[in-house]
Amino acid sequence: MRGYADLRRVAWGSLLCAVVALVLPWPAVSLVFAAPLALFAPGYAIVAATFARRPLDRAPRLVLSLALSLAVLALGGLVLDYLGGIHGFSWAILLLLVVIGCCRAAALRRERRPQPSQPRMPRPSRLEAGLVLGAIAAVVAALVLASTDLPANSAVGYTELWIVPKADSEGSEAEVGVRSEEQQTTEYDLGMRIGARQLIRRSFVLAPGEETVVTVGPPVVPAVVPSRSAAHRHSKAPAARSKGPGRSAKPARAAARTPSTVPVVATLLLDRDPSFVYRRVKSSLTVPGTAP
Amino acid sequence: MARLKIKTGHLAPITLCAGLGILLCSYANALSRQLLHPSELLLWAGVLLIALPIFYRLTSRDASPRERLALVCLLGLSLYGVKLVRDAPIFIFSDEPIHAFNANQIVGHDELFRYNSILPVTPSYPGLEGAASALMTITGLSSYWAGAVMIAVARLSLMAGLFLLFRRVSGSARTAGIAAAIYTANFNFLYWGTEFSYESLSLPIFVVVVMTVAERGASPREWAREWAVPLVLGISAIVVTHHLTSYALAAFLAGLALAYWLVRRDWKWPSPWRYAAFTAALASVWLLLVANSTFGYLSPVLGGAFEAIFNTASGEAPPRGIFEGRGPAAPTTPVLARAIALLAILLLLAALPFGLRSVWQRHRGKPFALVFAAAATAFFATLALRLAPAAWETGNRAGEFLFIGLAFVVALAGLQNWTPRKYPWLGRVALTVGLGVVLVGDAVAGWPWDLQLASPVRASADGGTISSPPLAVAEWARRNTDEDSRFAATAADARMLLSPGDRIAYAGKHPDIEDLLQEPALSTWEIPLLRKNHVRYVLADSRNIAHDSTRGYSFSTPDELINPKSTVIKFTEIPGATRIYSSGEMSVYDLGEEP
Repeated sequence: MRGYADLRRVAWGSLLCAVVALVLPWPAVSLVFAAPLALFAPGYAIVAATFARRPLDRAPRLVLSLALSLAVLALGGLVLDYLGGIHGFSWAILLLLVVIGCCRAAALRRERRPQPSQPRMPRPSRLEAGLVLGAIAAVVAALVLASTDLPANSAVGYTELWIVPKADSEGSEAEVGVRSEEQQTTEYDLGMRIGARQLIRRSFVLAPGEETVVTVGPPVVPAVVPSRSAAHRHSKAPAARSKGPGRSAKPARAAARTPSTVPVVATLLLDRDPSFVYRRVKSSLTVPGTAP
Repeated sequence: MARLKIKTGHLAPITLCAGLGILLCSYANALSRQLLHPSELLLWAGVLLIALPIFYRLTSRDASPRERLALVCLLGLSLYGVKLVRDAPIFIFSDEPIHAFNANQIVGHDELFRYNSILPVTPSYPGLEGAASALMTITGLSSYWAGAVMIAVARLSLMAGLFLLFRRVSGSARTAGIAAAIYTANFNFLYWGTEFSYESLSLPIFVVVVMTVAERGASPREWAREWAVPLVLGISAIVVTHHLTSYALAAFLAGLALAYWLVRRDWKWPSPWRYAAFTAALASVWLLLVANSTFGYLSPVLGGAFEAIFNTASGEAPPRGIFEGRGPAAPTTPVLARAIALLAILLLLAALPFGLRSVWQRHRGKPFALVFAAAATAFFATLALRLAPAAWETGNRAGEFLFIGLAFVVALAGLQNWTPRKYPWLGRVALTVGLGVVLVGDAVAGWPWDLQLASPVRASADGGTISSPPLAVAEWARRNTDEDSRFAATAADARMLLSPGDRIAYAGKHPDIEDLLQEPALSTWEIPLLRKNHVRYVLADSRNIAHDSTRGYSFSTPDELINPKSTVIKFTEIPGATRIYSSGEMSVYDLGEEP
């Protein structure tokens, strides 16, 4: 590629972009390097190789560079899928192969003659530069505004309550979660009944967007004193305040025959209206040692 | 050394106007996301602030071709900005979560052709998602931002490709600029065509392929081999990206080859019949070997369209009301907006004969111009499809391609050349105003009125951030259920479960989840249907709007229409089913593992 400044710039620039884009841990910054590699260089290299002996006008060349880069991306996925894996490294290698291969082909095919002059960039006046900077600032402000969460006071708030098996507990423990999507800080009373008699209660306060998760179980088996019926954690500890320890944890009496599962029901009440069941979910827990 | 000064024309102040227009649109959407119900006029003021200065400058005689090219690119990108500031950074147009799910699946599993439960045909056309996966995997970007960058570059290609195509055919940069600007007034340009969806990538490549054919036609015969490379690459990319675009390209190239024959009475260079045949062959091979589910996807749409046309024409079925929304909660469009939309169509129709006359007088020896003239005429025929309920979508999609021809023909109508002695600027002003009306009117006609502005899916409250019910349940599902968990849900909820939920979700008629969720009591067919499709969770939603895939993503409002409770609580009757999630109107029932 010696003697062809544009091809050299594209090939080495692509290599640099690939390495930096893969290494950088910040996606937005990485995009600055990945975009030319993925969205311009492959098309440019293909056009350079294809029209090496009959240079195109600048405008069609640029349009084809963009569109053919998109085409390479659309088709490149098929190639990588066939070769066995679509990931960042394989994409970078494929794009570099296209770019460097086509640049090399272009250099071999080009006839030795004066290179086309570099595109002359318009030199804006200070006023023009200021206006364009103003436009960029307006667009950035528009995107920031669009990405900013704003208050929507007339939207109806609500609360999520769920119960799911706790991971790695083989069904003997469950996590009961409460997440506030209310418009204001809300006080809750959460009651969890395991089987007929094991009852756990929690009272807590959640600000909008906060959640708390309570682990329940394993179910108390006959003649075993429950040592850890409930563990309580907040996802955002400083703001999610519990109003005190659980009020009761009643051990179940020994049963004549231990069932393999017991139901668990979680009921959520709003502190401001404790007579009304606000949410209720249900699941079941496996009694340890009785799993089929 | 004297520095060569290249004029930038009026580009800088016009760019500032475009930036301020986007900011105004963002402000209108911000008010709307706060549920303050701003006037839509604010949005349209922003759109016109972007478009009118560009339109006016494009009608002038003294702008350079380079400035015109920059202006049409600025117009295309700025109008894309209107969509970006509407709902960043979450996909909430109805097709977007489907394609975002595909892209996330590719990145998560390192392979193409993963299953999609709502639109099973989409993984068979992995061009868009495969391309997005490049940016996602190299940079770590989300599918939203990778898709946004991808579509922005595609838009740039589209606008520049249109300009070069029209300039090559008309021989005039001024006509080309105006025609490209007119194209932005097609029904789908502002919103539907900017979705993260396969057609948003394939249509720009389509335009560039057509532009390449035009450039090839203007070059010597010896260049044939050179042009083959971009054409084959472009056609192949379209075939693997979108079914309808590949068929449209085959039809366009065949029509162009026919036009060449009509003009020259031979099939020799530069007739593109070989490329028409290549496109048709490649699309057929892809259809048969890779994407045979396309038959099942397209045949009901096209068959239904033909049937609807026949039924409507014969009076067996009532015509579809224009400006009639498709969803159950679709409100009506205001009278003024309807009037502007109709005026836009009338303006285009009024310009058509003048444009056709100009084509006949000055361009009838050009095959491209003949095809464009035919497309322009056919565009108005597709408007009739909008009156038949099931043919509406077919007409809408065809319009995007046919509008290319219409834009060219209308630009040739020559209003910009009307210079009365007393008011020489009148023709340009009239054209600028007319284009503004057409831009706004067609955007109103192409997208539901109540969806022009955003609705909130996230909001700040008391120092925290809260999510709308569909978004919250999707985020909950992603955190608390297995990756291969399958849900049955309403149209809107299922899309959120796909993305950002990243879970397989069924909705709609195939399988018939729609009826399953709407019936007030369990029927005998429902449990077997769920089991057959390996559905573990049913997401029951009593919000009526949840069945609307274009509207059902936002927060509830106090006056929301609620379905009978029985549609939700009936799932407790399924043996072994328990409600494991509740957020008031929405409940997730765990049906348990398959027996």
